[in-house]
Amino acid sequence: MLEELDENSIETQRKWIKFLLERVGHNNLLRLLNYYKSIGWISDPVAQRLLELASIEKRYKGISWTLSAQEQRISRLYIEKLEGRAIDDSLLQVQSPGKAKPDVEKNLKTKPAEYMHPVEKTKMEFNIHRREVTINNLEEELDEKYTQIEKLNIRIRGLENELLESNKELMKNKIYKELMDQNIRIKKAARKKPLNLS
Amino acid sequence: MATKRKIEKKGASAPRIKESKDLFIGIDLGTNHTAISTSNGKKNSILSIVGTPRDAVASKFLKKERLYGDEALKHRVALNMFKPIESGLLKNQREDLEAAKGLLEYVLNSVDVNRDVKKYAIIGVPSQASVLNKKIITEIAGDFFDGIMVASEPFCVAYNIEELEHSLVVDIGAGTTDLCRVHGTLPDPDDQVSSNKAGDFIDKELVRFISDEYTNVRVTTEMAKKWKEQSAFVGEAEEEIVVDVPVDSSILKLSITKEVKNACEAIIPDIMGGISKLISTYDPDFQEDLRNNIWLAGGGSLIKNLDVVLEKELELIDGGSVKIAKDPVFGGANGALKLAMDMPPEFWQTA
Repeated sequence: MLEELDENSIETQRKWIKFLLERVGHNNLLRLLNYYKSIGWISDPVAQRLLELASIEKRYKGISWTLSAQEQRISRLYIEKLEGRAIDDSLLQVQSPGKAKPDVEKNLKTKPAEYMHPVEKTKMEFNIHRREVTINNLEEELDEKYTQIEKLNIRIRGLENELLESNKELMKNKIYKELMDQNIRIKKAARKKPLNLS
Repeated sequence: MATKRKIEKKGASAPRIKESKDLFIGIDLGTNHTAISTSNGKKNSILSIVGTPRDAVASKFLKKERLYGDEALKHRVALNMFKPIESGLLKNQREDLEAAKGLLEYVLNSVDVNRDVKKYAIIGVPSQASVLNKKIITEIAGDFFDGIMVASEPFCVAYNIEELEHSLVVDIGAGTTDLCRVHGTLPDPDDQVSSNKAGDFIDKELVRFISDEYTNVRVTTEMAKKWKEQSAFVGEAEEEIVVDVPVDSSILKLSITKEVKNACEAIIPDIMGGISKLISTYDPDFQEDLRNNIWLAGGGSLIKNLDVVLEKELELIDGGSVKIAKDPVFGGANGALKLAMDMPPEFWQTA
């Protein structure tokens, strides 16, 4: 059983995990490793370490967790090499390519924020700041417009009152004029035929 | 632009500033009372009655050639009585015209008018007064004033309460009930309806109803007027009206509740007829405004419940609102005064 993995064999570890991922994908890896644990090929810490390595590898999506007999044999050779046996690299060569496909979508989704390029980050922060400034400016502008509208409404009300007063005055002047004309006619009639009171 | 307009407005209203030494007067020459109101705050109301001594004895005793108002009424047995205004109109007889002139002079003196100031007056006349009647009033009043105009009484009331648009004034006086709709101009004859069923008519009806109900009673119109002034009402009675009535040689306490109600309600059909006519012939766009802006004025507006009963009657012709104008005695005179004061000075010079 492969009990542990050390830093010296990191290249072999990466090659093995890449070999496994290309065949079963990230989605089936856990199940395959559990299988290896159950048959006594690897220990739990090795399985954990392999999962950590898998997380930084290019994403693959597989159809099944099973490997062909030849692939199982190669996988076994990787374990033996990691246990310290001298295994010729030519034996680890694969004839057929893996069935798993690169998982582009997942790859994009799981891209961590801290990996954003500083220039891109600055640009984005600048854009956000610019938008905030624009929103603040628009809000101030809107407030100003509201104040102007309120002032205009007051002015309109004032003008309407003025108009009402003017109309009232006009109406009254018309009445005075009519009253004066009526009384002029009465006085003219009186002058034509005056009363004879002592 | 607005500033310019303001300046123009100020310029236009500038000539309206009246000289403080001018005195403006409003007079309501009514059948029953003559009311006067002046721009220096004085007002008075007297009965429109003039009396001249019947003979030399009465003349010597009274020491006056003419008596006016309450004084004339008090000494009526020794006087020849004149009521120069009948049914709201000045009578044409020479004696009546002289009495009216004397009455005007008397009412003017009663408010201590300074002879040295210029006096401008507007006299309220019934809405249906003829040109001849207006001419006579202008002539007999001309001697006392530097400027004189006549105006429709209900219009003066409307002017006083500042209801110059889409309003209907029902001025219930002693001689006439004048209805006048006001729509921002001086009312035309078409805007006015007049009825002889007013205060005096109620008095006569009350005498008739009491005489019909009780035999051997001796009721005069003066008594009826007094009772009416004390307890006139229409609609539901709030309390029993009991008065002292001379019967033969004694005095009996009699209930006249039903008679007062019937006499007062006798003027309602004519008022409703007038209101209905003035509303139905008004511009349809403003009929709603008019029917909801009806004002009661004059002594008749003191009849209890009249506004309520008229509103109930109005429900038969799509409803309306009736309000009572304040100050029934001086409403017309105050309106005439206000009109006289607001009149541009140059109009007084021209007229």
